[in-house]
Amino acid sequence: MSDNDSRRNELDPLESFELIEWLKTRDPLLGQPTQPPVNEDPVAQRIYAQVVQEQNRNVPHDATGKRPKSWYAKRLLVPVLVAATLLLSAAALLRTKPAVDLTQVGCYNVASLVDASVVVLPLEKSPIAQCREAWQNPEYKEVFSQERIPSLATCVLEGGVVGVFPNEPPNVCERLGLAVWDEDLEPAELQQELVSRITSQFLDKCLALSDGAQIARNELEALGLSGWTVTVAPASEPEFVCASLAFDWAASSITIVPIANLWVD
Amino acid sequence: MVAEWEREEKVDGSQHTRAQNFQSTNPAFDAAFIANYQRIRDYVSRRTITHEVDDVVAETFTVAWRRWDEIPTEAEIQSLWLIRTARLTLLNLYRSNRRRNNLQLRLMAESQQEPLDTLGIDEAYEFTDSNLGAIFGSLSDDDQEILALMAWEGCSIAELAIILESSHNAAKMRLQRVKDRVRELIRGVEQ
Repeated sequence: MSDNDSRRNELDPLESFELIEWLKTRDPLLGQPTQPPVNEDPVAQRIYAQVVQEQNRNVPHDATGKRPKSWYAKRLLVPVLVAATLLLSAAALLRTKPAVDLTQVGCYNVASLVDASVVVLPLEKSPIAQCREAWQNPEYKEVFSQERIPSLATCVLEGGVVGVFPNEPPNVCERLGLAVWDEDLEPAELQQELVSRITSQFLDKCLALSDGAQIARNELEALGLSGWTVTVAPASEPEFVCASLAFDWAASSITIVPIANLWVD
Repeated sequence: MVAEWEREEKVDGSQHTRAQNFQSTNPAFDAAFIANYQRIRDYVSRRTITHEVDDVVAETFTVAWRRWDEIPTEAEIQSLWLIRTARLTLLNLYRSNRRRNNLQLRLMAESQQEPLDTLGIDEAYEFTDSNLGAIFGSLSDDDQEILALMAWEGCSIAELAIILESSHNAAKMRLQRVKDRVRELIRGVEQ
């Protein structure tokens, strides 16, 4: 047996076996149209986007594939990943009660929930004012690369998280199937105070759910808001062990919302 | 992770976005996706029904992302690792759907052959679509997969070993057992 014969036998002892040859003629893909190159294949692009978004829910990666430390504290650019996180929190909220989360705002660079990059900031003022600043902030120039700031509109994402989108053409909230932000929900002075006092203690760390609830109760008491209630929403996933929160102004309640630990190294 | 998107303006003035490049913050993953997407899609398409293909492919690459640190860096091994992952994803799908390996069902449907045990005892054996299909159809799902990997994915024994998570020798023995089993079946038909 020659070296070539020996190698062929090693690689495929069934090479001459008719079942293999028969199978080759039964390849289900025979006769199928040629697929476009991956870069031009919209299905491939959609699947890629799906994979990236899915993974960005809980696991931010930097260029080396490692998680950046203190990524949230540094307000790192957390584009699609935070969109997913927002939606995740929103989904948890939706299962409890309708509420608007006034703790953070997502500034979207395009009018899309899927193809956008998003900068998420703690909500400190009007959502549009805050996002306009983000558009002008050199720190986020990779996300907001357009030469001019477009007209912006504030929408309420499913479950109550606030998102600000380019509003060109108009009615972006309706086009995306989102609720329009009700300006009456802009936090009044007391609400701002409440939000500020509580959320500052929730940022940059993974608070246990019970600790988060206790902080909320303490601050409500300190502000004399005795009619308010604090409830802890059930965790939709076992790994959702950290506290985020949502305010329901109409019902005078705060919901502690379990989320994944985004701060783990 | 930042995916790069290209804005396009249509003639009517409306805008839409489409992915320009596969650029995340994990370039190695992006490269692996581009290099292996079609191979994985082909592998999955051969083994399940159309409407499940996208989900299985997406799940395969999702697992790859999650376990990126565990994946070998060599391109060809990476590709085999992805096939292995796609295979396990399909097995989970089969289990959850409580149905048999679609591979066999699909082949049976295409060749319209009878299952082996319904072939008449007097039928003289010859290599025809009917009895080759019957022989293939009577093999276990695992044996079918080994043959399919060789015929359709062009795998060598070394590659089979990686996909089946076994040693080279173990893969070789499994292949030999398939071969023996096929010979038994052929003899059975011949008798």
